[in-house]
Amino acid sequence: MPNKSYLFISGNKPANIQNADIFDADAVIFDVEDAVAPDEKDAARQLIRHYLSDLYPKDINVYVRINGVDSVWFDVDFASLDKAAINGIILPKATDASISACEQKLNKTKKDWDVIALIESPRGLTEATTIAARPVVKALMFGAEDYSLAMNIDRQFADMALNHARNTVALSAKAYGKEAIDTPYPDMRDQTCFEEETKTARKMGFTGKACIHPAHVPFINKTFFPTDDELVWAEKIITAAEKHPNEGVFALDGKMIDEPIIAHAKAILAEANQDE
Amino acid sequence: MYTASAGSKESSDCLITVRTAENTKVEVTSIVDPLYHDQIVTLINQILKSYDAPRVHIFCEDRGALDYTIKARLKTALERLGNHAE
Repeated sequence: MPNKSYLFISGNKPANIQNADIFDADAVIFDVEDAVAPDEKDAARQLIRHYLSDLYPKDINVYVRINGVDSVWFDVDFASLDKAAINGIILPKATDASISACEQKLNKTKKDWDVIALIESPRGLTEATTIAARPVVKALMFGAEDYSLAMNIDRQFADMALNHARNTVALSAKAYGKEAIDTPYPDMRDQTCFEEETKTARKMGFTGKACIHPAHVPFINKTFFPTDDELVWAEKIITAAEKHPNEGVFALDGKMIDEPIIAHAKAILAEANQDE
Repeated sequence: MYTASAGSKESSDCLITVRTAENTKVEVTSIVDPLYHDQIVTLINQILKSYDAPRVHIFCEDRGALDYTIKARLKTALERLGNHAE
């Protein structure tokens, strides 16, 4: 099942790294890109490598956001994770060309990491579908901050532009059965807007959301988990379907129930059961 | 004489400074000195031995770092020292 919450943790802060698995996030992303200054990237690589070797986090998926393909650090970031038992990497500033280069590197080094493509540029957005189609890509993640910068728009007030981008990322990911991860919400002081953005992400079809503060994890987990109403509805559909085993379509409460609806109900129950 | 450092004085971290010297010496100050001073010195000496490091004076200011952090910071400092010396 998709990860609901992805928590970014700076790769150069031991106090945060060693607490990665206490915040109840489904996945943690150790960051050696934007969260670490250029002069400290060597330190962050060593810290992550030794943490993963000596104290691997429990019951959580582990990703590392490495530096971009075009950066001077891409190759050394890759090499530093050589023996790390991570689930995958986040590739920033993803374009089809950069994903292709990353894929070649993975094939050459025989690594079976998942790649989460961070869509945070206009070009990345226009290529989102092509990127999602690549087998090595597990998910698309939207990055609103860099995208807003590239578009010269104000992240806080550009709902129309950003929602178009978010919709595109969710649609492109879903077109190829990949996870769609919404952008982190940056303002810790504005819980109301954070919750609204998270609920909107679910309605858009995102399968999860990233965050940069542990306090956001619980609400993300709750939002992307089936609601009580959804669970009741799903059980009702399955129960009714079992009573109509040989019918392709039947009526329930005045509504037509056919295979896609039954499949949706099954998916909801599967998602709920996965987390128990 | 070359000097390099890595880490910080934030909680759960350590600041390790390494300096080229005529003889290897390890000095540690720690917020948990009575309990862990000797263990930290032993760990640093183990890493120096495995790293085939040059003679260095190491000063570790520990703020409750776990072993993996001490190892990582020391290795980073030694690599930075090596880069200075090149």
